Amino acid sequence: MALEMRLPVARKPLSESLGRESKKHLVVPGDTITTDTGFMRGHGTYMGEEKLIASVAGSVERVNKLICVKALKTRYNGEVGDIVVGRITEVQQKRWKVETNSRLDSVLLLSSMNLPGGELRRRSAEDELAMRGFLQEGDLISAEVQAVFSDGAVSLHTRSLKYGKLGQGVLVQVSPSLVKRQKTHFHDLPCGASVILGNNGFIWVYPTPEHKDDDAGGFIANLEPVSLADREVISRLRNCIVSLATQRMMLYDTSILYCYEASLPHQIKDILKPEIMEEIVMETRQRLLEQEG
Amino acid sequence: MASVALSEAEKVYIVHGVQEDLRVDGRGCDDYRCVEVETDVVSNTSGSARVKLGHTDILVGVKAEMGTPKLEKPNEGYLEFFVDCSASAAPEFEGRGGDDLGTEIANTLYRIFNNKSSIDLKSLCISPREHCWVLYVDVLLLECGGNLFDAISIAVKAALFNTSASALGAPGTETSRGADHSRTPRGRTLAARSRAETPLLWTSACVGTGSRTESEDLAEARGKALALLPEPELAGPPLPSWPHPTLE
Repeated sequence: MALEMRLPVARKPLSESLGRESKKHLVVPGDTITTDTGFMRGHGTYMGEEKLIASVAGSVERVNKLICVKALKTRYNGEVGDIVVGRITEVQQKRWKVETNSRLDSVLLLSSMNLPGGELRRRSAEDELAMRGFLQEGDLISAEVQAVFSDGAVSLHTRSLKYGKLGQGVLVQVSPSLVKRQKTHFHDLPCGASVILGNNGFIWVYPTPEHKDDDAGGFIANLEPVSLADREVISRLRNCIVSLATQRMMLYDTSILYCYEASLPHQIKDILKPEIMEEIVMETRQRLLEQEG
Repeated sequence: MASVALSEAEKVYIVHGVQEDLRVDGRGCDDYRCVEVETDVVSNTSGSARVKLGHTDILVGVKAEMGTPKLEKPNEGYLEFFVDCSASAAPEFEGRGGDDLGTEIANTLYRIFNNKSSIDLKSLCISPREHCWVLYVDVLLLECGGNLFDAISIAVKAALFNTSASALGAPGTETSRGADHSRTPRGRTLAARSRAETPLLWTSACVGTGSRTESEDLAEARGKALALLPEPELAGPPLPSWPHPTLE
């Protein structure tokens, strides 16, 4: 039984130790962004006393004449085409309610779901009664955002074989602003596991399947025990993602992979210790800077 | 203590992991998360401690006051426990929601400190049948991240250790005749004994066919808390289990 006790130590944030060429313009609610009245105001700003004032805490983004403030800590705001990982909270008539870390529960309509076998037909009353057989409360799914309602609720669809119910693996919840937008969010990492980086901050780490099942459409979960070597890779990746998120670094396949490689000399359970976490993230940051420059 | 619904596949993954002694975050079944302990954090108490165990944050304050000994134990002082599960710890503690959990934890603390080898209550007596020290131990739950019993027992132990000698031996104006308050060794005795002999709680949960200690919030199952005392034969019966209904 290993039990480690320590005294709390004040830690200074890592971002001060590594300089950045272009400083982001960070604001807090109430800060004046500009007194120039020629700009159009976007999200996160409001006009008060002929000044543009920020209403959220974040970084100022400017596109030509449009100024908006992108919040650093926020709930997920859906955009059409995003990949999300969500958990079913309710089974209703003809739709499921999915929790995606946004202000309102997202909606997955029965008609937006692929039937097993890939059939294309109108959903009947039997399909409605069999909904719970497809997805129950607590199940995890990967889906794509189809539309955004006027109140901000997101409508999802799983109309492709790569989306659907998720099997065995580990879910990590981070802030949505840390997930970098990329061309693809499904990655098979060379270290031996796969990862789905949901835009809503839910990251799913799972063992790479040996062969892709086309018939099942992702509904039949594989409940066989995962091997110990795969488990170690998954736990190590999970700890690396948690340490990158704690140090507020952007999450994408390269950063996660570099962090994984930097953590190999340490034991898996040591990665969560604060000093080892800083060391690993510092090394990752340096490698990423070298790669860019 | 928000219970999260898990999918069948996730549950299977966790259960197999426990059987192979590798949990989701890489710890073995017997490993604890990192603990941070800080004493002397609250200035207007006789002793205090703050313990952070993963996401669990506990603050304990000990106030020493003069009182009358209980009738059945005229030579001893006593301890009073009060556990407050604040609403900022978890959403279900809002209003009176945290009272049940608080009462259960307080009763557990009373049980483990009822043992004469846990703490020397005779050292808290000032004059028999007339005056004694009463230690009011207040536990405040700041954040709930699993494994409350263990963290609270560590915090109470640290706070009792921190209960300073000056609080228990200082001369006060409301002394009664014959009371000898220059015996500062009393506070030191309390500190020395709580460093060595105050019991700690160790919670173990059954998952599938294996067992694991120090569960996080996500997958706590039925657990039993055992009081660990220096002499194992005085450990007593296991305390009642507190079920968390996410895993069978």
